[in-house]
Amino acid sequence: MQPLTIEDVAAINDGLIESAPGRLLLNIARQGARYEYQLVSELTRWLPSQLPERYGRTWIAALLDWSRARGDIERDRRNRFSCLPPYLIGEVQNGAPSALILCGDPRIENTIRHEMTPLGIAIEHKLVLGRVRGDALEDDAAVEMPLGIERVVRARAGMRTPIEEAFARLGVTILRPDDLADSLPSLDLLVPMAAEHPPQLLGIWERYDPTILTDTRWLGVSEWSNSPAGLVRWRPSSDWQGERIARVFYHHGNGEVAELSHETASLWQLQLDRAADNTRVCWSAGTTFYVPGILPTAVFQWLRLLAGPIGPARFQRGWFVAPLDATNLSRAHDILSSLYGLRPQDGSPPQFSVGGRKNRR
Amino acid sequence: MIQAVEREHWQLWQRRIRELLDLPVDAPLTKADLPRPWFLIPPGNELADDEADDLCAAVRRHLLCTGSAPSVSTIINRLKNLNSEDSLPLLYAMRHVARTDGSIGRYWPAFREQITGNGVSLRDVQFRLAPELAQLWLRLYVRSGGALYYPREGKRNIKWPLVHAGLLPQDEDALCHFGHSIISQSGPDRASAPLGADDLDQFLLLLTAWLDQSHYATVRLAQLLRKHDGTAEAVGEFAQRWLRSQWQDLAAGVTNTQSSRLLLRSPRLVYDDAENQLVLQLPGGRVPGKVAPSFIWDNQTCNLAARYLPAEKATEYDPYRIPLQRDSWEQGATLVADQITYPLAVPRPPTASGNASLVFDASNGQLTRGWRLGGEYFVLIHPGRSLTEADSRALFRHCTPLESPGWGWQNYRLFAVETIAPDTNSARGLEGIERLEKATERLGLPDFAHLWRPRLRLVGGDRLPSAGDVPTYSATDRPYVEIVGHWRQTLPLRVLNRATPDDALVTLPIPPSSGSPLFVEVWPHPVVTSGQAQRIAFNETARQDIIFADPPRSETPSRLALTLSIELGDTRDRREALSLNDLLHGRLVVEAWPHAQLRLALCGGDTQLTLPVEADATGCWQSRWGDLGVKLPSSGPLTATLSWRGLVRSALSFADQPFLTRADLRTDCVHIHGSYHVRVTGSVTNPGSLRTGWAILLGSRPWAGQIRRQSFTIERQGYFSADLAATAFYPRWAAVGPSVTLGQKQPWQPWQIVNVSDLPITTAPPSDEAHGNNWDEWLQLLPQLRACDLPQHLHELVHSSYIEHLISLLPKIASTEPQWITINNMGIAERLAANLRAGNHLDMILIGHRLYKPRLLTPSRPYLAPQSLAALADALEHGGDIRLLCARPSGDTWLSSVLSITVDRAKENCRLSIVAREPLAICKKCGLVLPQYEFDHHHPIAPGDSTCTGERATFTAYGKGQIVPAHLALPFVPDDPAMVAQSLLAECLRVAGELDAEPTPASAPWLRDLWLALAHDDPDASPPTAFSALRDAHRELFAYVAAGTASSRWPHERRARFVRTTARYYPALIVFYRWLRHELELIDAASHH
Repeated sequence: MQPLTIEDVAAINDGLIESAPGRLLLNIARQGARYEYQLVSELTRWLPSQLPERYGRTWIAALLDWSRARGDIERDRRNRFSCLPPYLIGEVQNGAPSALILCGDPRIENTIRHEMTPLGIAIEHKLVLGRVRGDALEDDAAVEMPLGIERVVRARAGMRTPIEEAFARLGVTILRPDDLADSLPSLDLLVPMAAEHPPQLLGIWERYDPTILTDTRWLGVSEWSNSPAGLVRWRPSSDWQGERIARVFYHHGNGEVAELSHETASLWQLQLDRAADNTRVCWSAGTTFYVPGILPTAVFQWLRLLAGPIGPARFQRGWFVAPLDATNLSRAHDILSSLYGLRPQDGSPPQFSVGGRKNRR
Repeated sequence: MIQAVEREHWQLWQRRIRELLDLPVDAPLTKADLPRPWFLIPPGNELADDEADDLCAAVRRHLLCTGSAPSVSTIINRLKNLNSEDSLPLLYAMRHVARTDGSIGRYWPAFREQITGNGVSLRDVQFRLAPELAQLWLRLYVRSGGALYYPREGKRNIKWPLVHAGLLPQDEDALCHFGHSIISQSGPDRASAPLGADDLDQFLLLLTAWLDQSHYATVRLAQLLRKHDGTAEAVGEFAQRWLRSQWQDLAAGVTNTQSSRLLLRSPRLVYDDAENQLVLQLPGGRVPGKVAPSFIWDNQTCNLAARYLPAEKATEYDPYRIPLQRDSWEQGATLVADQITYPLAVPRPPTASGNASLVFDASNGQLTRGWRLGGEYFVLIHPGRSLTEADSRALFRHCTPLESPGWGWQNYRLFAVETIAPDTNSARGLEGIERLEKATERLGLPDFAHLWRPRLRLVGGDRLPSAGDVPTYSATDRPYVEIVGHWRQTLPLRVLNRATPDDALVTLPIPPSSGSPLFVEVWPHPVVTSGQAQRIAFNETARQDIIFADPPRSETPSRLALTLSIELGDTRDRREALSLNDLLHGRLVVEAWPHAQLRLALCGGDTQLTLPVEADATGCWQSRWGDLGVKLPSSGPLTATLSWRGLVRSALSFADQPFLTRADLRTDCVHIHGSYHVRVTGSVTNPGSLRTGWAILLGSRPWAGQIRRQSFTIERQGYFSADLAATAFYPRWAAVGPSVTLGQKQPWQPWQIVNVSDLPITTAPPSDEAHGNNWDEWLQLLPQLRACDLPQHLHELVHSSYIEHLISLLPKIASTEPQWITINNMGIAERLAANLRAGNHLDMILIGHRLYKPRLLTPSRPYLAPQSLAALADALEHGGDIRLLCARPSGDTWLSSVLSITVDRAKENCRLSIVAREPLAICKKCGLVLPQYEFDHHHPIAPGDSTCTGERATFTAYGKGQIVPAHLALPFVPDDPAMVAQSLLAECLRVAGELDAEPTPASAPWLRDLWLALAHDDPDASPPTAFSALRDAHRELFAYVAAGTASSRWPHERRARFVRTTARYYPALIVFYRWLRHELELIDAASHH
């Protein structure tokens, strides 16, 4: 036992940072529903105390978003994250080796390795790096940081039935890629029946104005109970952290509200946009496809699948960015346009232009 | 001379104080190996009174410089320039004043008198000198490397001399007896005594009550504890510390402890983050005897759950929680047991603590009076204070705003914070401590008190879930130990077994550090002592416990599967034979995975809605139907479908009529008389009077002889069984449904269709070649099958069969040049009328004889035609006269002659004639009718006939009042399916869209059948919507047919649109195409008449 050298400590730091995405997922899986601040706290306690400032909560928020879009975790109405049970996306081929995307609870991996190695099953991990841009990282945006772990189950050819049976025995569901597209949520929303007076919350109340032409359509209001606003939201502070833990309510128009989950709230925003004939834009610059970050999570998971198995698709500056080939781009345009009324436009969103970045500052 | 004497006097006192504090002469503080805490209880004797007076005089002279009257600013400057070593006499004198005369309320007058000789005003002492003097204490704290005792409680300017005054012998005597009293009641275990930082309120309550009843009621300690200006807390904290340090000796001095020990813990204020509410939590405890304890507080009496422990002769009671709905409450509470009252101290409400903000430890939610650097907390900021960005940065590494707790706390702001680490720049040095102190004072928060303690952190490793506060790590993936903080001596880092803490397993000297963290790999190899708790510690100043456990071999995650069932009374998990009454009186139960985000879709009758469902931590959710606030459909069935993103689902059906769920149906392969059969068995729910049903076996080509039917009997309880021979084809699907009684309008419809292709049938023919022709039988089955949930391949088969059938019904789409005909029967007349109403403009001319077969005409002006197409449409259907126009090269002119149309529905014909009101002429060659004055301009109407002109042809003349035989000729292609279909659809939309519209007699029966088919599939659709949708479906099908083989290259979305648009209207399309064929046959018959 002895104090470690500076070189040893640097190597340990690097190792811990690289394994942080996996640790975060494991923490969520083991501990059940966790608030973001709890996860931030647990991960920062697990990491050394003196890391560069960039490995802070902006980074951890990016890790959570990445895992959510991948279908590993989901967020409940109270903004707690919980891990989904393990499941696979893909099809086991008989005539060729198969690659299935492993999503959800990572604890299944030990069992798969233990029980399915004789069947030629192997689990492949790939650390995905990306740039995280937050308020504290303006000058550090060029540094690539771990974003998440892609997990792929590889199976050799000719073992379809035993592999499918083995996964069924383990309780691991296999979803077909087409199922993801076929089950994207639609906008046939029904007005929630629950109606109650809004909770007395200290912070900022905003109403959703679908007629605003910019992407941010929430307007701060002191009094909204007599307004015809369809959606209102509360957040404890005006910064990005407050936005992440905002609560959204359906407003019945008489001051009574019904709280919505984030997924339902995002669909309502899109429905109101469409009713106001002010649908949002999805951009495509070459093969890069940008969709608004408010879309339901299922859309991001599907786009990630279209973009390729080793996750190049991710959130950036409030957008979900996915590189798609021409065929998939056209398909994505068609489906997102028919489901959510998104208007395709060439180019990249203003936030990605030099002027846009300056403006954000 | 005088100054030299004074300087020597001052230096004399410097040496004397160093002697009292056991500090070597001339040794700088930074180099001295000081005990911790230092300065608190001097090892030597206290100063005698005259000695103390001399010290005060020396200090006075040093500060005020005898002989002059310095300004307060000068004194402040002198204080600022005083280094820590030089300040020792002054600080010791301050301590002496506090020891003899000081409490917070009386301290500064005594200080003014003894130290300044009343040379400075009291106001200046209190408000200008006091902060500078507090700085001197802080400077000494920093200079000594944190060796000074840091008082957490009390006001900033006064707490240092107050606690460093220590205890008088009488105070110590009183505390000693109080300690004995506690030990005799609660036993020698220090953990049972209220000596923790968070037990301070309870400690003060017990101590003051004890002092009041003892003969120590007038000692200095008792007087100080009665002060409510912060003195009581500062002294109380110090008294707790003294008792802790003396505990072993005190325990040794108590021989008679009570056999049944009292274990009382004061109620704690807890922030419950799961419920986002504040709670008063009474911890469980123990009272002597067999009693029924109750807790009384804030006008509430709560009986506590308890059990008697015979061996202990005591009653143990359970913890109790009371939600706090407001921010003010009574501080006194009592536990009453068998008429004995035990006082309990409830934490002071923020309103009674000078608008204090509250701090809760994030690990257990408990209110805490002090916090650590680098620790995690919930902070509830009082509405009278605000957390500024600067204070937040000074105090916290992370600060997340959260939703305020409800009820009376909604004006407080709640934050989840992590306090800054001790090695951060903002916490370093004197300025750092000052900054922290000022920020906490502004916010009404506790002080930081542990800056100079080294802190141990466990970094990395695989931390496993554990119930207790001690972290558990995998024995194979161990954490590193990070040491952060400031320390000036080499510290021995010891690794111990918690069970034998006196024997260190390993000791590692850790060199001094001024902030940079150090890493130690304490466990380089897998720990074999799994389950054993270890401790790493620097003496008593910092420690970290850890438990190692075997790595989890296999942690079983939940499954991505869900079940919806209904709970009825004691019966759980019912999923079959469910009536609407069961739904009304039962409880819907969902079993999925923890915190699953699901949707429950309810569909049936006029109920169509989706509800969000969130499973709890065990993966369950349940609700009574009535609590959902959903209206029960007036008639069943109702289907409740639970799903996760539509990818995983579970459904239940409720109905008051016979039905069969998938779970109630079973298929097996049986061998009967040497051949394989598919045995279908099941149990029909709510069979009522239904006694028979049908089972049908289908192969992959049902129309090719691959359909087997078998009727079966349904027993009274609903059970049935049917065997279907599987000899002629490979069976793929089995359908089961009720028999239809005579006169019943409802068509046969299967309850369930299941895939049977995986049954082990091996003697079926080797190929699936056709063995017969069941196309008609298959067509009869299609409408019934499409109304059910089908296996995917059968669904595709039904769809493709429908398309094939529809295409077979469709007449061939011809692309011929328009042929001209004359109207002579009602079928064509009505169709033409519908076409005209649809807005189609057709060229037409009047000729004097009939065209017996379609011909190609190319008329050019002049010719006669009806003046109004709408009037013509009416007249074609109902008969009547319409005006004529003469189409001339120079423009149209109206005639006085009228076209008279007579409709004879009995003979299905219509006759046309012209009532001449001006001279008319009929060309004897081509039959064209013209006014006589236009005949000279007559041109041929048939291509290639250049001789039929006004100059060469002759005509038959008709005078005014004569009836001129006439026929309407027009390029109306009678067998163009597209045009006929268009005219039929126009008729549909006309009848559906106009209030008083009457269908033509010929279209009426077809419209009725069409409407029945449409309404069956979409009962809620209005007629215009339904017929519009039918038109769209027809267009899609036409586009599909027109695309021919190119349709196979349609993109996915295009094909999906085709299927989506057509699939809903198959039966209506079939009716429509039968009507179309009928019309075309009429046209064909008419044209050959």
